[in-house]
Amino acid sequence: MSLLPHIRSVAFFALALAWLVNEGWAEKAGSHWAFQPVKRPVVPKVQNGDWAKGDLDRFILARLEEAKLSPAPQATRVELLRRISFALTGLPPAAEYLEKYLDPKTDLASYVDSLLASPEFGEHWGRHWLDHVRFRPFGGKNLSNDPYRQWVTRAFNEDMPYSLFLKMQIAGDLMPGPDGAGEVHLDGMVAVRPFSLKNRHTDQLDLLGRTFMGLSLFCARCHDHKHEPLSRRDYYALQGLFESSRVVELPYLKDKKKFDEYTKGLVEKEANEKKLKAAPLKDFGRVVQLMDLRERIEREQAKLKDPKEAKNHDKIRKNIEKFEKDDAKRTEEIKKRKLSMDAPEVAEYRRVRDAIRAFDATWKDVFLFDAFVDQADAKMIVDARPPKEGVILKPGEQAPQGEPVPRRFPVVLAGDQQQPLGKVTRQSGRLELAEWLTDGQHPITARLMVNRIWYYLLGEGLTPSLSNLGHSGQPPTHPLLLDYLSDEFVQNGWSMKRLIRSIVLSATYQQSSEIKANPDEIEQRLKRFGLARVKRLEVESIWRTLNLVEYNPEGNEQRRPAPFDMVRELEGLFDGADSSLIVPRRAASISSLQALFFLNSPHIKTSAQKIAIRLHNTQSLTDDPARIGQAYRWFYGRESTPEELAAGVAFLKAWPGDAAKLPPNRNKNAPEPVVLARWQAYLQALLATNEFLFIH
Amino acid sequence: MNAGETLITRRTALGHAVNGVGALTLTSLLQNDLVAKPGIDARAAQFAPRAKRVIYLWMSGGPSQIDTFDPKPDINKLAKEKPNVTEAPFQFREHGQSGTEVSELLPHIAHHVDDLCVIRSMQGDTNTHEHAQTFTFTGVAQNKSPVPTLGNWVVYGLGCESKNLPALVSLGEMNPSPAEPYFLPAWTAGVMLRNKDKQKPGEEEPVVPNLNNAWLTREQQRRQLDLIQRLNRSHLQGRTTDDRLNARIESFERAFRMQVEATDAFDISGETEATKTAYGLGQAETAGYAERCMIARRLAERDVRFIVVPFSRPPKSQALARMFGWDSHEQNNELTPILCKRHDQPIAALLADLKQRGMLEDTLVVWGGEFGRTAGSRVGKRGREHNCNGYTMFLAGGGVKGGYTHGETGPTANGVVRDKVHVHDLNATILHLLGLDHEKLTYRAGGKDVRLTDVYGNVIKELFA
Repeated sequence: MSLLPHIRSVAFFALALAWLVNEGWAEKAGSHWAFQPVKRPVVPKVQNGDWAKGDLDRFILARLEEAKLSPAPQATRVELLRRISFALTGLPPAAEYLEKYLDPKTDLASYVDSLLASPEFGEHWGRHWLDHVRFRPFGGKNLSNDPYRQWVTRAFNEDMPYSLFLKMQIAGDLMPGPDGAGEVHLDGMVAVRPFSLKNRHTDQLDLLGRTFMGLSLFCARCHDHKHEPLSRRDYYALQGLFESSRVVELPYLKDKKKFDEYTKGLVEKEANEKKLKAAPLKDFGRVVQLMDLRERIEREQAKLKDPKEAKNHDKIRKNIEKFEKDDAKRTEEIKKRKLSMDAPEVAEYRRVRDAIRAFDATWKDVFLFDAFVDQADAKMIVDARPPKEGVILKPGEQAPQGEPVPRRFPVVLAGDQQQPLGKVTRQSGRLELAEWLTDGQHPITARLMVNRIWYYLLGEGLTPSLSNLGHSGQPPTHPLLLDYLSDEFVQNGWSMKRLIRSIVLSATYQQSSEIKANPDEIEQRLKRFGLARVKRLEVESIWRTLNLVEYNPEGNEQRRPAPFDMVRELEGLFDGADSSLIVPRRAASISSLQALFFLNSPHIKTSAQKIAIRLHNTQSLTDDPARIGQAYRWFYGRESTPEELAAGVAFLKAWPGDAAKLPPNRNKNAPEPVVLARWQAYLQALLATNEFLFIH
Repeated sequence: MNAGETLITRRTALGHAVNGVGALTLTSLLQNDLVAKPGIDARAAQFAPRAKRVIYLWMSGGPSQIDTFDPKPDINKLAKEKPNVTEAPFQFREHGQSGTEVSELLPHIAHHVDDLCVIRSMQGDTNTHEHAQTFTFTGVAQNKSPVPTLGNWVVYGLGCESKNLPALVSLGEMNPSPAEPYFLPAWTAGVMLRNKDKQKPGEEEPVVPNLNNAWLTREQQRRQLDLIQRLNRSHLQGRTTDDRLNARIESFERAFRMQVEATDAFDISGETEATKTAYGLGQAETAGYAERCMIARRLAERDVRFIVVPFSRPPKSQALARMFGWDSHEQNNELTPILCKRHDQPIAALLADLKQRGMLEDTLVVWGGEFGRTAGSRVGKRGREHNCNGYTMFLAGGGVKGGYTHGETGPTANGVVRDKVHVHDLNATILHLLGLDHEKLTYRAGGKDVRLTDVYGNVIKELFA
């Protein structure tokens, strides 16, 4: 009996199985929610329609009603003013707003608009963005004058469309600027610094993946992605874009003539390199090497005659010996290959090689590309021409072997029929990448940013995976709402301010953070956004608030930035973002070390002291109860109760202190030392309370 | 006021948890009858514990098992044939009555082998530092949703024994941070000390910042704190959804007491000269880790439940070793001896000190990193790469079998060939030694009962005395 039929059937079965596995995988890959286009959903029907202020609320309400829950009651006006102010500006509500909006009959919308229009908005939301790009100021710059941070802040304040915001960070240098010339943008991809020069592209792709595309692209560097439909080829297809881009120092980029000269030279250099590697010159490399070697020997022999080298003679002789051995071997080889030392190709080879060397020497100091990354204070990426067709194996770096991978976008999102970028553009393809991400059709871009904005406002995302919308992320709890908001976002010209405004003014956002319910219900409510989340102040809010309240505009003081060492200390204690990591989500911990800061830090003492002096220098505050009332307004955004006033007065009165032991304060506006000491103790206590640190 | 009391009576739901896994429901602690009132105060374990506390000597970076506890003579033969294999020149000898093999790089620890339970067959899941470190302490490799660490779970299960110090302290920076307990109650948060200048992890001199007040008397400060807490209690009225409010009230009381207690605990100046010398305090090569180990013992004496002692970076004069730490991708045979020297004497002194004070019986000492190393590296580097398949950790005290070596790896430490101990198994075992059942120490989050060991983990009873 022949075995052939069996073999055939086994083979067929194996093929069928392979096909099934493949197709099944592809289908699963393609059907993942976040890879589907955003579809505007039908607004669900709800029972308690009066509660909803808009469609956003109806989506939330529908999910609450599914669980037989009604929304939490609205938060009080005091809570809302404080909550909204911190959410939009990172600062407590200003006195004039309290005066204007504490009356619940006033219109919150105009309060929200004022905050959105304040410069503090950009500072606060810009910081959120910086968490996603491993921000640290350039060498020689600090937080207040770093140009990239300034640009981000301005983008938020001017409500730059998110699409443009993203595009400028990927390809700003390739976009026409206001004056028609290539505009200079310090971009998030390169200028926000990779850890190491060696891993520059790895870092760029990691950032591109997580921050701009919501995908853990970096996993596909060494192997096809284990959880996502992303192959190594997809990874290196994108890396090609960045390999076709170079980091250059700004002054040289501005000098157009010089830059053009350079790029022209680069084209020649690459052509020359090809020449050396192709027939007929290729073989003569050996001859030229031999000639080099002989020159070297001559040089070494000359050294033997040099008295200055006397103590190295042994070493030199050894070298010569080694070189001569090598010479013999090479001469033999050349004889075997029948190569003539006098062939015209030899001279040509040398000419071409010297041209390459001359080019390198000329531009060494100007376009030592990658070496600039960590040194110059102003830099950007710019396309170097000609772009690479694709990435091929390089020593020390794992890349696909064999054929170069043409530059293109990941197949799962852009299909397998896409044109390689090399056929579409003479540039690196970064501009095409940016346009593809922001064309309004890309399934992830809008969802990713909408979800983050929701997270920053509500304390949790519609999907908790803030930078991973792939299979390995978690699916959204409210997929319809996410799509609805994403569609609105794009329809409204990618306006982040409009999106933020619509969320903050929703009934959902304005629910109370307290409700009497059992823990099970509370868990359900938090999951379904039927209860506001209590938030701990972010570290920037802590020092910015202190800094703001300390500053006395009436006392002709100059406003200074918060002390650097305090900022650094606070960042460590209160979960600041680590600038070497992408931080989509910050922790909000509580610890006794934080308590020790509020009890004992000289920084908190200084703050309390400055605030005490300010209170005593404010003309309208004539007695202690008035000063206490003002402190409550500054710190907690509310009026103090009569009991609180009385308790404050009593505390101040009973404060034990020996006047003789107190040093006089150098500030001539300060009240007498005894008064200052007790006020300092009192204000420090107010700053240490939960009411200061938490937002309800 | 007694803040601990408040915490117990005001058992509150957790609202701040990350990732929407969300709120505490009926705690499984209650369901499991572990204790009647879960809170910060110390309570009995689920069953009789062998250990009361843990000192975790955390060798992050990945120490080479091949050059410390797991002799692989075949590597030297291979090194002659293959340029990417790095020779293993350090001599191993049997020590103690048990004959446990230890390399010549750890002469001090070698004296204590009869107290050591060496696990040669550790198995992790990933070879990336950050992920493997997180995995070792949390049972989750890639933190798509961050989770609490082993230490937080232990505090959750047993409460806080010390009234005046935190239950969980890391004497230096580490990843993952135990300072944020995520879905576990806020009072399980640990304290992670940074270095004075917030330098890299592994630097010397972890300090408790702001430990003392320079301008108020104790009486004045108590008065001030009373006001803070009065305001906090009144603020707390009617608020039940976020237990961080309570935890913060408690944190102030503890901070107030820490001013005295921690000052004392961190002050090693009162130790005898003999002790200081034994730990290696006077020598530059060992001083950094010696100080940490002494402080660890002082914290253990003061009933701190879980103490992590991160590795210590060599001084600036040893630049390369300082840069690489245990992570010897290059020049393994130069770097590993430096790192061994730095930690060997302090650790040995700690073991002796605990034993002499009768504390080793109920203190579980754990030594190890996130993985071990391979036989070789890239050609020319003479180093060792990451290896999570078959690396060594050791346990001591706390009811484990001394003078015992568990498991076996392949001829080049390439994979476990006998008695594999997975990270989940180790964590289950550590919990068991503390009297906690890893399957019953669960917390309701995100609609399911979450535990440290996920759905894995076997208690390795062979390791018990």
